[in-house]
Amino acid sequence: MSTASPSRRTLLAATGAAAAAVGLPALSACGGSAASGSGGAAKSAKTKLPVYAPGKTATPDIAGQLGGVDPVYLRYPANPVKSVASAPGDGKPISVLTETWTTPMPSGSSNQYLAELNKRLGSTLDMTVTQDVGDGYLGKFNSIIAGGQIPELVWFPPNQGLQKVPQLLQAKFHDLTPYLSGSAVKKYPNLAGLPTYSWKTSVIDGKIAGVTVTQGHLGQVYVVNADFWKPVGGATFTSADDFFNKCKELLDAKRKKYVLEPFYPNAVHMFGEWYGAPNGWRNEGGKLTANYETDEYLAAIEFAVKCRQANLFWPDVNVADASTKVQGGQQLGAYVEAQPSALVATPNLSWPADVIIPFPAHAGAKVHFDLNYGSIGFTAISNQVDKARIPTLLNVMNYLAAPFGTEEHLFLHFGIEGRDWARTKDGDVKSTAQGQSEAVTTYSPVGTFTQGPSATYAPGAPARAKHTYQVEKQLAAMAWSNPVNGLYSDTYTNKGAELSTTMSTLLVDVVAGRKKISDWKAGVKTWRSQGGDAMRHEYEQALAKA
Amino acid sequence: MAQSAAPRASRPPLRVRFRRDRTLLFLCLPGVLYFVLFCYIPLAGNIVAFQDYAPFLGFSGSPWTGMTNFVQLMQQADFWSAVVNTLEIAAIQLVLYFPAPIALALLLNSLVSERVKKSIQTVVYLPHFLSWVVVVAMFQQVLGGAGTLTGFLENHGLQTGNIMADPSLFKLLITSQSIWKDTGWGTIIFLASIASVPTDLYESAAMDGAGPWRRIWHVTLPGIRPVIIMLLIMRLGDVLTVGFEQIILQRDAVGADASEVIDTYVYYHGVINGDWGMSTAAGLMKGIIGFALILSANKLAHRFGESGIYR
Repeated sequence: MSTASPSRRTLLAATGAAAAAVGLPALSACGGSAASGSGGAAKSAKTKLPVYAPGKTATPDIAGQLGGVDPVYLRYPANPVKSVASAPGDGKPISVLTETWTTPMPSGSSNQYLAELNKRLGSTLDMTVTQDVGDGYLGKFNSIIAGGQIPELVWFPPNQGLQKVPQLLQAKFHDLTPYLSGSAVKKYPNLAGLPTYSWKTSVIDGKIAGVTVTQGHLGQVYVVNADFWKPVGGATFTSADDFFNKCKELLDAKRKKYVLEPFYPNAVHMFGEWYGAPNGWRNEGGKLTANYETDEYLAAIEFAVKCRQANLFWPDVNVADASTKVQGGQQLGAYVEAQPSALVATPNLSWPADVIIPFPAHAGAKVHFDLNYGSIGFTAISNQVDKARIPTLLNVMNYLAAPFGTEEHLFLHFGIEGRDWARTKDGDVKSTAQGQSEAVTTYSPVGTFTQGPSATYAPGAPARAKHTYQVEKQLAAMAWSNPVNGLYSDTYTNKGAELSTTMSTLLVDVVAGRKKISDWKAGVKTWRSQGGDAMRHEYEQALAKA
Repeated sequence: MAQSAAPRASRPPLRVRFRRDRTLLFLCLPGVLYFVLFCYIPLAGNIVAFQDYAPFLGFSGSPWTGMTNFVQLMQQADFWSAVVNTLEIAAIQLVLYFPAPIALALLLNSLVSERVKKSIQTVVYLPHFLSWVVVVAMFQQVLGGAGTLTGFLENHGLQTGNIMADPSLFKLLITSQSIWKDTGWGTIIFLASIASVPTDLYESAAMDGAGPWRRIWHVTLPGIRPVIIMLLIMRLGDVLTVGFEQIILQRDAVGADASEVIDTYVYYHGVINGDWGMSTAAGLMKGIIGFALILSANKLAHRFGESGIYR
């Protein structure tokens, strides 16, 4: 159900197992000396998060578990409830900076979904939409900030390396704490229905900086096409060697048949789970070890090098359509998705998609599945917006955060009945071709800046929904979270993004064979001296207090 | 660029000259406006190099740091690696890429049939209009690890490896891409200047028994020498600009060590990592070096008796 998935290209942090990225909470970093925001961590820890008060919607067919397996709906409820009484907008346009994860939406008057959305909101959404190519959102974000024409609503992703976020928020955005903290959020019932774990990313320097963009808590997975793996008996493995051998058997470079997508940081994250590398940090009685420093992580890198040497990765790292190649079932065996819920994404229903359940790399390996931190950032309100208008904008986001089983949700995800979707014989929702090209593409950038809590639902494919539930259950059973999740570190706030970018660049160089394992070890030392040790210290202190 | 050959004393007064040249001056206006708006006014932005600049604080709100940015820049190993890469690519391009249009222009000029010449010209101009995204994608389709040529060679027992992902070949690769894309376009100016070489010179050379090669060497090349020198000087001012989009598109495949140049360094540290001050310092230094190169190349041209681009 999540149409908005964090960028695969621009790293994993949000999906946040934060494989390479260490530490998690608060965003950002600054590339220079200005280390303001010092002391903010202490304030953040005390900030009162919005209360959690989920609204009443349809009962799921299979109950979920907050922060774990998503609730499952086998068909869309026949009579969705209305969660917002009247159009929340004030008739004036609302400018937004956001990103899309699909092809661009149709422009102009042909896009009736957008026209209808504007009508239902009572305000025109004037979205600046960036695509996930090249430097994508970060490049756009930085140029817009530098240009000074800041849109009214700006999405702040936590994993794309935005800098000086605390100072930027201070200078250019409203503090939303008075509107959202504690039970104040109840004025916006759908926002109050967003899970508490998601809100933690919205807190910067002791203030609630924006409305959280929630997502499920289950992180990155290898998505496969079951047909591709049939010759070796399916995509289940007993050890890293078993995986390696099966991949080699499937590899047929002469026919341009490769096995793994060539985005190395994601691959190392997946391998790391099999070897038992920590999710960001390992906590042993209050003492923290970063995943970079562990033997397990090193083993994962070495395994990636071995795979690269054996030609298992697609040979051109700039491959733009890895997911399409996997869908086709002939050219590529696996690519990394941000979440297992990708299995019920509409474009993936037409082919035998599945995920690789993590397995122990060798006897004795402590295999785990990494939880992400349940949010792809937050959406802040520019301080050029009149204070009196803030509640209006929050009401608009309240509409967009409508949960599954509401009229608003049904419209947002599937569009206009009769045009974008139709009821099947047994009353389920089925997207039309129009809906695929209009509703799906237009909702993607909307869902990136606000969406409702995650739920599993595969329109017209209840079997896939059930399978996804089974997969999520297996993953949740071996899941662990980053021990510093929800804790705050000033060093992380100021330098985290820069440090993790450096480390992931180094990681790519090592896996590609341009640098040696010894360079990695030296890099870890530099990482420690440039902020890694400081983060550890700050997190350990925060852990002791928690 | 104005050539005022007339001695100073005999110049008519400014008012008279203005009246005489007003049409020309008026025609210059849009061009001058362009340079003022997009080149000279933005120069003021270079003060960022002396600040710890944050866009949302603005020029006045950002703290002054004196020369700190320059000092820090000098201490960055990756900046020096970018400088070295830039110089290497510049040298390779100067040797391989700069003469290519001259050679092609001579070749085109030697064609007798106007029709063949025109159609070849049209074909060689075309790649210039493709964007780098397309050019790089095409190279990848042919030379990449999953490319056509690579696959063909492998099927015939020749292991070429992945040319697009080999850091040691990167500089040659991007130069060959530049040659493929822009050689044809570069011939325009040379063809024009070849056309202006008086034909009677060729005739008399032929009468004296000079074959085609000798005619090129003794007539054509000397005839277009001023243009070559002028373009060379202008190229020198630009020599540190070795390609931006082209390099960014292929950076992931070979890593930053082999591919980072000053321009991409400025982009990644400034726009992407937000260190505007230090990266502006890097850009400013590049500008100053380019300026110095133009001045000295022009001086050198005067030494050799050419007029260069100005006197």
